[in-house]
Amino acid sequence: MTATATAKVFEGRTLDAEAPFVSGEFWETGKTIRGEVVRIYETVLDGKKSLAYVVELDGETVYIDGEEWERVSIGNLAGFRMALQAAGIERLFLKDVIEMECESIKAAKKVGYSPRANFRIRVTRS
Amino acid sequence: MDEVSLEAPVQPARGKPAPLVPADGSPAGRGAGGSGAYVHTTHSNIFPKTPRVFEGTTLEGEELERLCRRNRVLVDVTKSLLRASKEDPELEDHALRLAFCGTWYRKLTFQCGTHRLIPCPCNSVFCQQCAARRSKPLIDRILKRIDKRKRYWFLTITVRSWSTLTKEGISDLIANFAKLRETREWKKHVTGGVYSVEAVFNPQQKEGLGWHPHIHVLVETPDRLPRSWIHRLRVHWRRATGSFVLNLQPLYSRDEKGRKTRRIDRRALCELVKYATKAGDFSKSPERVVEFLRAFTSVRRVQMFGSFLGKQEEPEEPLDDEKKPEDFVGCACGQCRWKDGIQGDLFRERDTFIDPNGIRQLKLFKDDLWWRPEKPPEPESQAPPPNNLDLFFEQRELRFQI
Repeated sequence: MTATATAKVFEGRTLDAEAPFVSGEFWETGKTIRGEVVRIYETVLDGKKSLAYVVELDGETVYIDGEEWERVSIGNLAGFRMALQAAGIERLFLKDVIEMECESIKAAKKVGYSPRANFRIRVTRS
Repeated sequence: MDEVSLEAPVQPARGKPAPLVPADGSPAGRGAGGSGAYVHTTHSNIFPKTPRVFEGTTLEGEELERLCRRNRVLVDVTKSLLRASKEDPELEDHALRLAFCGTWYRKLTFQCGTHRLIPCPCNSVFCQQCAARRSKPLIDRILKRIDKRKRYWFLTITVRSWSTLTKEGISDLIANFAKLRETREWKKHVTGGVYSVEAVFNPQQKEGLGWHPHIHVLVETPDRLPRSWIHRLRVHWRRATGSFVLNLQPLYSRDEKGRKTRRIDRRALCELVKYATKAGDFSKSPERVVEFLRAFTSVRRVQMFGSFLGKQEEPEEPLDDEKKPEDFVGCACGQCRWKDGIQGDLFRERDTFIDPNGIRQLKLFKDDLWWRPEKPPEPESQAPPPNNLDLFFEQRELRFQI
């Protein structure tokens, strides 16, 4: 009996991976999102590489630029990076469940800089 | 004739035990060493995975980053001082005091026999902890002087950048500012204030003119200042120093939402009397570190003038944030004051502990069976504890009696 190779099939849709960034303007004090990290990808901003995380929201939807979304991208926010550091983790991994709440908005001191959202995050890693 | 071999055998002959016979007729093979059927176990069967939770906030992260940055600069400055100490051995002592600031305590002994441990700060111009400790009582004093009916301004006075920072240069800068305060323009509007001298370093500056000394001034005026005032002041300053860069703006603080407010609080005064050295830009250069240290040693960096001079009798630096020389120690007799303490030896932080009353004590006392944190024993009422020799004699006496 000889082994036969079976073809593997992978399928994907652009729309399934599409997830808009939750930018600084999205956040208001008290706003919360909760969900599971389903994809991680690398972004480059001003020559610096950083990770962005696609979060599948937990039964909720958010409105970004007038559209309703079930999954969003998080990353490149100074407040988020600092909160991760305070939690004692460098980055998120797939299947991490993240809950982040905007505690306050800190106004920029210098002209031309955007305000910073201060977060409280809770990451559950199983 | 048989050859004799001196090599030890790898395994003694017939030393290997016979294989175990499977019990109850179960087949030999994997798991046959035991007596039951094989049960597959994994690490997660024995220690089931429990989800781990990580929590944190942005504000905690910001504080963490600031501490990391501060420690990095402190380490760099210490290394630079140690490198420079090859030429000047006195710098080694300064470097060690800076590196171990807050970890040494001095024992104070009071008349009633009470001991207290007080921290030994390094008081270095590079130490952030000491800067915060020294600025706190000063800010309190300034806040007491603030009159809500008057107006307060933040004035920054600069000079052209310097290639070398010297004590003479700093003294000249302070003297020029004193002359500016004597001008008619100044005296006409300003009633008092506080100034602080600072120097920052810019490594990217061309022609080696990296040092940028400047003065921050809190200015008190009874009324609104005319717009032309600062221009007239610039003329005077240019005549004295050649520089005309003076920046005047109303003193403000920020509320919780980050908006500017006219209320003057601790936060608004921090920039003025922070005592801190922005050493991050030159901490890795031993020459610059030594230059800064020599320029600012024994220089009064913060000084009040005019109506702010008033409470001269208050000591410049109390022993601690809350302990002033006239305060009671809180000992058993209730009469000892901090100023009465007789200085004793130095102890490392690891040799001390904080007792339930919140008082730092030596671990030596903790091991003493007779030591009680709540009620210290009074010398006249308590008999000295018997030592082993006393017990030995007591037992011998008893035996003789029998």
